[in-house]
Amino acid sequence: MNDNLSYLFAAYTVIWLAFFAYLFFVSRRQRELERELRAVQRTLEESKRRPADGR
Amino acid sequence: MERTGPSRAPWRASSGTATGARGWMWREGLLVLTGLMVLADLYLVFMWVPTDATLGIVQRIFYFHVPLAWVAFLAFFLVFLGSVIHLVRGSRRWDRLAQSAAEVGVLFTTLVLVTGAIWARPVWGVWWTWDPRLTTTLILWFIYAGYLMVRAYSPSPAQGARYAAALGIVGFVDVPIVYFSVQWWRAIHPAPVVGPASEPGSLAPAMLITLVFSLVTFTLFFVVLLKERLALKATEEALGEARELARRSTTDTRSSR
Repeated sequence: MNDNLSYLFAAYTVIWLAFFAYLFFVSRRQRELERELRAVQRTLEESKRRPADGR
Repeated sequence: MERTGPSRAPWRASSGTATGARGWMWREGLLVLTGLMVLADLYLVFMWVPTDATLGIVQRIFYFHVPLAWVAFLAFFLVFLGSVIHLVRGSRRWDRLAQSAAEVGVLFTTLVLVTGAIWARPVWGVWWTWDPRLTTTLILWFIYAGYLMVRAYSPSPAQGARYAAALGIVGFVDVPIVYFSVQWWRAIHPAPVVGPASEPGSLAPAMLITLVFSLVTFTLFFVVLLKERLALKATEEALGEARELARRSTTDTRSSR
């Protein structure tokens, strides 16, 4: 029965690889979106400041 | 100075990383606890629990396969609940929960199918067979993969949320069918060992303890994944709102010139 060790190994490897891959992609996307959000926020603040500066 | 309300909103709606020290501590605490539980679970599964006399070492897949299925059911229950509340109250918060739970649920169902196939090869001699339990689980996977596709390809997010909510409610009917399929039809899949359809004493005490510990660990892991996905969804929505504000602001500036 110990020759089935490769199946056990495969099952556990697949599970943890899938979980870590998912967590990796979610956190990477989160970082990208937060960076983009900050950039849009900066643009908004600049566009609000510009007409006031011009007066 | 007047505060720019709408431009502040996206930051407030942003991810758990921007919710302050308390949120950060909760997140880190949950991660550490889950990590410790996973390590303890691995110890129980590989070192502590005795090897099954009939199936041998491959039976240990069961301690992850069953919790994965349980968590997938829990995820789809959340999709059902979130969808009902979204349709009744129009709540975006519950819709966000439904979508995030569906995505994590599909991940768990995929792993149920994969680990089931890996278990089936040495035990049944085939990777796949059209057994009622396997077939209904595959249908479950298609239903919620369809749910995610409806959301992704819908012309508008609001429309996609409504259509997906209907699918999330109807699709949940398959969950009890998957669970009771072993009883209702002649099947080769082992009978349930947890829940109302299980027979008392069908597992040795050490095996039951390991299984229950695994169930708790995977439920906690699910909470971690769901929280991360919810935070991402909140950031996606905040960015959408911020972009809309930026677009309006550009249009206003042009029209005032």
